[in-house]
Amino acid sequence: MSCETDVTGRVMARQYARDMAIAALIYVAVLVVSVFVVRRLDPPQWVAVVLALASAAPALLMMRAYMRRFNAMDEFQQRVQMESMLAAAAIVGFASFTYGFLESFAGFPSIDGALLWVFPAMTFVWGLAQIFVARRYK
Amino acid sequence: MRNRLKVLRAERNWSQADLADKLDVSRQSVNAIETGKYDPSLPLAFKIAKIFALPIEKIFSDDEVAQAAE
Repeated sequence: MSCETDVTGRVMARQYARDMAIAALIYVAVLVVSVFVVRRLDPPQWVAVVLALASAAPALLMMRAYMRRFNAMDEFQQRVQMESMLAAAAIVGFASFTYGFLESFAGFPSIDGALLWVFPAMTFVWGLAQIFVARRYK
Repeated sequence: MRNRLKVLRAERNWSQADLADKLDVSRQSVNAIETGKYDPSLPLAFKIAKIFALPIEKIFSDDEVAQAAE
């Protein structure tokens, strides 16, 4: 069984931080180029599609880095992660579902690029939920 | 589920970190098991039993059974 003990945990945390930093750098670089090309050069549709997909792709690197770290955790740490993720999915899913109805039925303003914020919002709430879930087991 | 992990660990003068190292888990995991907040999986429970060289039922007991015995 490969588990994240305190010593290997620190090693894994460092590797995770490095992998995430690399993914974030690639994300920023691709995003800067994509925004510049789309806003300034008015590219054809297929180029815009490629740039949109390229901008989202670094998130896959982040997910791979996280999965690597998750697989190195022990069963208790994995449980904390999964409970936090479940909470994040429930909170963000319910919030977006509710706002969708408010938009449709009650004329609430449509948020431009709202779908773009679902993933970052889930990540943020998941990070926050970890604090509360971990506290429950102390 | 109740367990005697803390007592058994103290008898051997092991810290939570020592036991965590032997079990290949984090110290937080040992703490959560000791305080009864987290019940380990069967493979981990067997590993704990092996490390303490005790039958699993000498370490872990069902809440209801333990209450009835008291």
